[in-house]
Amino acid sequence: MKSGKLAPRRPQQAVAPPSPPAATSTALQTGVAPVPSPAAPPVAPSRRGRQALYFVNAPVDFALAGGVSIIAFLLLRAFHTGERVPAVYSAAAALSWVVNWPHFSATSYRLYHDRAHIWQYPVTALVIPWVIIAAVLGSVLSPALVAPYFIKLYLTWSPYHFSGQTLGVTLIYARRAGFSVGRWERFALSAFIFGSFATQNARFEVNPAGASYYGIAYPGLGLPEWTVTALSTMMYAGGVAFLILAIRWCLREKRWLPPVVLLPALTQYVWFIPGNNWASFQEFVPFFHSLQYLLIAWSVQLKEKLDKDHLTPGVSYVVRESARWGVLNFLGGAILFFMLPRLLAETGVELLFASGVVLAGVQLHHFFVDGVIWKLRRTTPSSPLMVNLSDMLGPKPALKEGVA
Amino acid sequence: MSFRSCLAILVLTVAVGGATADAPKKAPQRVVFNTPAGDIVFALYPDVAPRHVRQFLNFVEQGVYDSTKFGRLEPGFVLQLFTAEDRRVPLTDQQRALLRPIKAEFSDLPHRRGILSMARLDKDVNSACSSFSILLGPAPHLDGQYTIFGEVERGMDVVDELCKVPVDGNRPRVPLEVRKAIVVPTAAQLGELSLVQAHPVDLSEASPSMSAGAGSPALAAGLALIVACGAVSFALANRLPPRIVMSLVLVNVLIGSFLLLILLTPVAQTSSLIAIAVFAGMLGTFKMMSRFENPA
Repeated sequence: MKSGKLAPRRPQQAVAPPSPPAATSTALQTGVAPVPSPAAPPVAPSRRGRQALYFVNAPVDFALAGGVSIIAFLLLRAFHTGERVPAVYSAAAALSWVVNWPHFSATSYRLYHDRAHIWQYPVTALVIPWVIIAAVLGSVLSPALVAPYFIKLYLTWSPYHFSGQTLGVTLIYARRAGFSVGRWERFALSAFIFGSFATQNARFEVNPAGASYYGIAYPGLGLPEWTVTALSTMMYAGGVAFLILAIRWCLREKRWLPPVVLLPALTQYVWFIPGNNWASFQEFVPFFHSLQYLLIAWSVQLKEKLDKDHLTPGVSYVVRESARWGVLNFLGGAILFFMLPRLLAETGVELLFASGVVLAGVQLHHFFVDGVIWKLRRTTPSSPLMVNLSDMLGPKPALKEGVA
Repeated sequence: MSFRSCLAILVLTVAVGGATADAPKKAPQRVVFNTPAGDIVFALYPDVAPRHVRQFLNFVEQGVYDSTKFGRLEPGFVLQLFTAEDRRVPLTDQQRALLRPIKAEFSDLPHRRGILSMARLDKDVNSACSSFSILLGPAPHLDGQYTIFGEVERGMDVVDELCKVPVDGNRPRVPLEVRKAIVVPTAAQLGELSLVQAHPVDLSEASPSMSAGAGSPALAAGLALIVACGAVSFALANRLPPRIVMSLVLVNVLIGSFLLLILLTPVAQTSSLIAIAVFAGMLGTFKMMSRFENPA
């Protein structure tokens, strides 16, 4: 009786559409180790002569790459109920407008704003949308059969996608820190990151009763309980192995591994394991994921635009381009998540149901798009994933230039 | 008559009279839940919990309980119907608008076998809405903590059949759905209905979501997409780069996996082995999709 009226819910789904955005593993990973095409110009050395560790600086990078998540979790645990109360989901919904939704829009913008990008990945850009539209229509026509599984597919894929981004971001920071990620490091790291995703998912799948998303109930698989134990063992084994490899690297290099390299994986662990049963925290996980993504997407946008249009770096450029890009993605997000469901509802479909299936469709599309946008043909002389904000802010005083 | 006999009669009279006075008055209406194990008839207590009874009757009349699930089963304690928001068929906007928390109406009635007791959030006594429990045995620790609003008048044997399905912890391993809930205006009219008697739950039919009739158009559409995608890949194989052909093949894999998910999930719910296979299949599909249009 005490478990009350609420069936267990999945973490990353909230009133505000979980917005898993960002990069699947191959996406950012490929960005980490880009293979220069024969035609690509040689990679120019950074203006500062060595690779910057951060996209912006330590406080900002730490905050967006996971610090905010962890602090929020600790605060909610300490001072707030775990219940998903109206104040929590209202706050999460408000944040969706300014962070989650724009983050989806940013992905689509990156692929679709340039015809060359579309033709580089025609199946993703032109075929996948139709497949997804077909699935959305199937859900509308068969709300009791297709819709629940469409939602289930999306909600299972979403944390996998989060994991891809976590791995990608970790590899970016590792590369920036000069930490070589070999076969075993990657294997251990993947086991930890994807293990946390699999553990969290298996926990949900144990219960065949399932849960609901935007009023669309979807079933669980009824996995046996021991699978959760097995997967979490794999996760912890991966984590320990990676730490051992990292310590070995520290001893060999005689320097500390910058903590920011470990932060994304730790953050995902908090999202999926201790934070899994804390509904008030889960409401914000998509927001945190989007924050992580936007930091990188914003940096890349600034760098690419600067190089492509041969603009002059400077504060005014950064402010102008950030504002333009921000407004564009805000509007794009509003179209995708606010207007599209209402458009579908105009045809007579219940708005709540329409919101559920459209949001799932947009996000599934995003998972595909995000898999390719980091591999678009390079338009910059150096990898945009290695950029630092100072590169876009214009020349520094001579003294600092000399550091190189 | 001796003094002792008189005293005994007096005590008996008071006891019987008291018991009669304590028995809550039943509303004229009866509610019938059609479940995979038969029909259950509820009688409601309007004098004990008037707001709850009104809301419950309204929910039933508006179809709110149709396709809701019994999601918690603790033998000897409760069989709990989950909230209407988690039902299989999405609620309509009108139905959703009805779902409002209701103020508690605690009474001194005891929680005993057959009682209907409203579920609520732990920390909010006024949060009850659509989820409720059927008591499977006495639970005095719940007395005065949860609103009692009725009882199972007929069909406890049906409840017992529902309680025989396999469980995982306290979760039934098959979805136990309320197929249809109706209000019968008077108890007398129950006789006009042919109530379904208690019978074992047919595990393969416990969830109506996968009946062949319901699934075939969707499956046909999915297969058509696979065929179309395969045909395009075949026709253009010589003119398209291998990376694109591979991606079109992956589209087929995705659609096929989705159809398998639809087909196998109900089976997975009754077989751990298949559940593991479906879960692994999903993860494998995601992994493959990360190679989409990726030549590496």
